[in-house]
Amino acid sequence: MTQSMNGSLAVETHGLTKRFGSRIAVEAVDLRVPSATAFGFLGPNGAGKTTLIRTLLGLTRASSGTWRILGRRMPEERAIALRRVGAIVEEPRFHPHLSGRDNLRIVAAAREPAADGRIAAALERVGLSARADERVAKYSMGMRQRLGVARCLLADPQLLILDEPMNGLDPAGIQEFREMVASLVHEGRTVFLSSHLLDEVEKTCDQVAIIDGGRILMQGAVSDIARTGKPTVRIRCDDLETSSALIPLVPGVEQVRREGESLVVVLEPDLGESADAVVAEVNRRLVGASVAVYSIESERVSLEQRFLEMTSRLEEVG
Amino acid sequence: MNLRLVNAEWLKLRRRRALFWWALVLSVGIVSVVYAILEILHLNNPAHYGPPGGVGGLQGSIIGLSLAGSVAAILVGTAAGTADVSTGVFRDLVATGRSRWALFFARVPGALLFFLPIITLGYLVIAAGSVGFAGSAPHAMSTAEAAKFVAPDFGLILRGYGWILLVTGFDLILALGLASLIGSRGTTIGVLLGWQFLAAPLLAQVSLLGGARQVLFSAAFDRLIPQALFTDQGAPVITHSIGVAVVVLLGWTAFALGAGGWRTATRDA
Repeated sequence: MTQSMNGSLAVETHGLTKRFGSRIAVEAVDLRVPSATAFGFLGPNGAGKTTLIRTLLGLTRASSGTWRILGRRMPEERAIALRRVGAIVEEPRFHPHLSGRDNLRIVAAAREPAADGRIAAALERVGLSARADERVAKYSMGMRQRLGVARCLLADPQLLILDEPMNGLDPAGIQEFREMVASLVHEGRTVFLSSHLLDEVEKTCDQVAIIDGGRILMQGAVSDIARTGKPTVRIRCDDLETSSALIPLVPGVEQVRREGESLVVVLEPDLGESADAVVAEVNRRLVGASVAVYSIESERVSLEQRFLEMTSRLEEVG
Repeated sequence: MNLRLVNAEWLKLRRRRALFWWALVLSVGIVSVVYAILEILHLNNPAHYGPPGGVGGLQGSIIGLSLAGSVAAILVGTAAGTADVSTGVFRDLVATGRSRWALFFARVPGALLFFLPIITLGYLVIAAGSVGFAGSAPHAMSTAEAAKFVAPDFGLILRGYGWILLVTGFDLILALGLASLIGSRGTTIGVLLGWQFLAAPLLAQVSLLGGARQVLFSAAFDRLIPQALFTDQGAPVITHSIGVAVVVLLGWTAFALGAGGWRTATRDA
């Protein structure tokens, strides 16, 4: 591992834009990926995730904007910047007639001479040593994903860019992968992880950015993003009909919906400290109407809820 | 030139069993079978069938090897030119930060390293056949005719080898460059075989084109073939100096490498 980059940015973009003809795939993206973190990159299909990754790596030309990778200006210092970057873009591809080990030899040859010496360790780390000499054509999707990660490790990377790396992994594989990401971050490396598996991103990453329609909607710590969502409470009581009619009349309540034997009450965003007062008022009105309230619980807003809120809001605007 | 990259290109081709066997069949198998058949015919009826070796045997085999070897060279060249793009590995190679031009130019020596031993083996077979199966004329004939059954000297064999390397090496580089430009192996094979065996021979016969036909690389090869092997051939259809022939071949090579390299450097990965 080369010197730590704590405190700096592994990826930094300013107004990065990529057009295909008249279609804008990535629009004026300002992205900041802190070093030595697991950074989740979320977005629905067609949001521009892969296009942004391809642009970052110089696989396709940017239409406008500037960006830096590991502090190096791109594309001017591309060769130096990418020396310590390992990437899987879309699904990992290999020469199917070659063994896993030979495929790593091919890519190691394009890297510094020391990369040849990392092949065995990389295969060991992803658990493929025993099958490294089989042809890749015989590999399962999960094994290809792991071989893709091994290929990234040949760079002794400071930054790993992984596009949907959990595709094809079984639950045990996902768990192993999560542990591997944690260990890589622990070593001071940055893992930039694009995924549609929101739950996994929430469990694996500390930082996240949400992209839709080619634009970054939000970025920051996972906990902060979830916290900025609409406060929600779950109410259990003996009269759901009456409660459903009463609660929407309370100022500060945005929506009430029934889920099984309880009501989910969504409060208006940005209530801040007064959210507690709104909940107290809801309780007061229910009790005043002789509804027996069994419990009122604050609902934890998941990243998934926040993601859906933001991307659906964009659809409404569009 | 990065030797590790060249070695990686060679590794990719070396592990392609079907490609290896096809190249071997075309370069070695066909001439071996033809020699075997001619020798059997000669042994069964020596009065009618002369020995398959000698200068005449070398002459026929060189032409045969240049045709079959060219097909093999096209198969190898197109495989080398498209392997990374068709499998999607090109993206990963570019993502290492390595220069795209370096990635492209490593393909040329890598493919030659794979192919040259095979075509050399094919030439060794015909060289050995032309010496080993040389003999005397089956019946009375002119001195010039009878001389065809005499074993060729080492100098002639060596010049014939040089010419075979020139023809097949050129075809390999042309195929590699065009395949890298077009991005499709099948299309490139079709274009090159169609040009080589259909379009170029037809164009060579169109006298209306006059001196413009000098740019046909097949005509350049005819000009550069060892004359001692083809003393009985009539005047060539297209005439140009050795210098022009060399320039034509260099021009085609520069075009193929330039176009293939440019496309590799500019293609979206």
